[in-house]
Amino acid sequence: MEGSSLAPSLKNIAPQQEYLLQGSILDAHRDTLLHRLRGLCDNAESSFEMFNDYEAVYTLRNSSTTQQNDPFLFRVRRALDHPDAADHIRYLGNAEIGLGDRRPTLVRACLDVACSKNVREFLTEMGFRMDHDYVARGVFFHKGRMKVMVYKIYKLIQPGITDAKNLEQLGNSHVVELSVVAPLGQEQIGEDMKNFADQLKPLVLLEKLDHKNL
Amino acid sequence: MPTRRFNMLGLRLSRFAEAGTRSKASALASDLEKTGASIGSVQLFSNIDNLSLDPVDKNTVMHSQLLQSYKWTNKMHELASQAVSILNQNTLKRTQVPRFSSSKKQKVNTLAACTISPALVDQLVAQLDQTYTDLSISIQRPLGNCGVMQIELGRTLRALVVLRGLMIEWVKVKGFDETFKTEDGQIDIWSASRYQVFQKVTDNAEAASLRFFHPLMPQLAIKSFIMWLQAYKNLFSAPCSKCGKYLQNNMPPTWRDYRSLEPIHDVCQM
Amino acid sequence: MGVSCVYSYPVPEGRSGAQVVEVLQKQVETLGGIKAGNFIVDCETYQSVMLNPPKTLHILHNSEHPASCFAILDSGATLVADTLFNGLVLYLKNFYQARKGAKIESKGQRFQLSDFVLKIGSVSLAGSMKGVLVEVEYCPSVVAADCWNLMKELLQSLIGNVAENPPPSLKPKMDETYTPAMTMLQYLDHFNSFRTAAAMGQPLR
Repeated sequence: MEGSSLAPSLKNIAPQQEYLLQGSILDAHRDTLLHRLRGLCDNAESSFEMFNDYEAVYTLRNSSTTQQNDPFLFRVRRALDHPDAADHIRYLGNAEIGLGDRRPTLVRACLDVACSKNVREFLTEMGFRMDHDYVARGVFFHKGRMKVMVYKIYKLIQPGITDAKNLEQLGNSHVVELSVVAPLGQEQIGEDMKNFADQLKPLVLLEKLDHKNL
Repeated sequence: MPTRRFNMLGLRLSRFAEAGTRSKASALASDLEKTGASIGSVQLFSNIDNLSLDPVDKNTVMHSQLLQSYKWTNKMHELASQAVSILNQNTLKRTQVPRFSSSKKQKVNTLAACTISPALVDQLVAQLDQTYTDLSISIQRPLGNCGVMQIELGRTLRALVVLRGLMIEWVKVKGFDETFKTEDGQIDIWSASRYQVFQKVTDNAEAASLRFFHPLMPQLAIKSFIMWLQAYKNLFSAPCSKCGKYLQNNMPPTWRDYRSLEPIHDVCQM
Repeated sequence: MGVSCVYSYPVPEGRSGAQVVEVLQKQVETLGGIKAGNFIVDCETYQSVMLNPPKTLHILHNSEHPASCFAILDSGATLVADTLFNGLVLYLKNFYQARKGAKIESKGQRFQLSDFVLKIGSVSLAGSMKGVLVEVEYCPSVVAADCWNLMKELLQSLIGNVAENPPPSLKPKMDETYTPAMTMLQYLDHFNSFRTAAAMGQPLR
């Protein structure tokens, strides 16, 4: 869409990128990690910030697509603990390969869009199909613009129902994620993140994971 | 210092035992006096200072909290005295300001409407809420005894009524898409509606609250006010009962007759 | 936020759209309207690629809600999102492609008249003027059925019998609480008929 087609304030959507490091920790050691993070991150004096999100992944396929064509994914999130908050659509690109792959973190395109509650019906009507869904429950921290999340993934026995009875925890460890969303071309962040991740080292190993190789 | 004095005293005591004479005893008494004088008086701490010296305090937040509440009370006192001086400029009052100096007079002067217990007010509000199906009324008490009644009328308007006992002190009317909450979630009784219609309705509601005022039967006053307010349900959908039009000066009929409750334009009343 | 009605004002034979807009603006000012900035409503249309059944996606913006973006499908399903949704549509380019020369917008002067907001917009499709749209919004009310008669009175003094009935897309929703998306649906209806008229007038390339 050309910039001129929009009202003045709507022009120039700066492309955003997500820098990501991931790891995991056993449930038994979660609290040790949380205390370490509390000391390292901002707002150490306030209590933990919790989140409880339901995420559904929607895919779109052309009716005539050839096999090699990747399905197109939208992730739709809803905060279960804040029923008034807007829903979000998140688009995540594939991991970028660049700079001889010397970058310390995974880098991928990222776009987060707040939208009205009817987003699921709307996407279905656009031709999307729900692929899978889960509930993520945990704690998040800030450190400057870095975001650290420690959360547990729950499988839904019946898709779409987020009732406590319908949840089944997945594995016996928590996911640990360190991420920053920033405009294009701020490679310095990767280094900062690496340094931060090193401070958590004995507890958890945060790594650059390319999901394609999994 | 004192320890040395005591040592000295101990020395004299042993000498006293040796000699055992009266003159020595008087010398000893004067020595004791000297010792006492050199120690000096115990420094007098206020309770709060003692608290701050308490080593356990490092683990509690008592001292800082006390300081804070002290500052808070001071500030409140200051603001209250400013408020009194401002409010005193207005000589037109429906009720007497309670004079704390003459407590005997106070009882005589207060109106029956102001002294009704909160429980009775709650009861009346609940009763009104049930009587009118298209009205939803709730009451809160953010600061002490005064109730703040919030009324929602269909999907037409929201009204806020501040009560002192059962006397209406303050009325504001806003649109259905507006709110009586400040950004931090507290009740906002001051701000006016952004719509001209509701600013006009607010003026009229204020007038009505005075008109329906009844010093002896406060319940009746509230009931008639609510009934009158309810007539605004058709604020946008009813034409003026005088001129038959919907708009006059681009405004709907913002007045409701006190008796017939019929909608009339402000201009058509005259 | 309030109830809006959008009407297409016919441009009589032998008069230009610009003249009609000027006459309408004069009329609003005679009524007591005060100029209050400009407005723009735009619409871009996307066609599905190789989807079965084929679908059309309209993306609309309204300067009255500058941080929002309205996505509307043929069925009338409407998604309200923040403006970054434009970016998502770009990522969808393998599935939804912009229809060429279908960009349409209505822009013009905005007036304030006590609690009414009046907008006189000239509609241009791919750069050429196609007609005039008049929007009247009554801000204090949120139920169209409540304030329709009152709006009709104002509308008729401005555009006469064009406003005899509520806009068709609003009619079934008169009793619902009004949302900004309902305004966008009205604009989309008008935009679609302007496009159809333009397609009829000139043969397809």
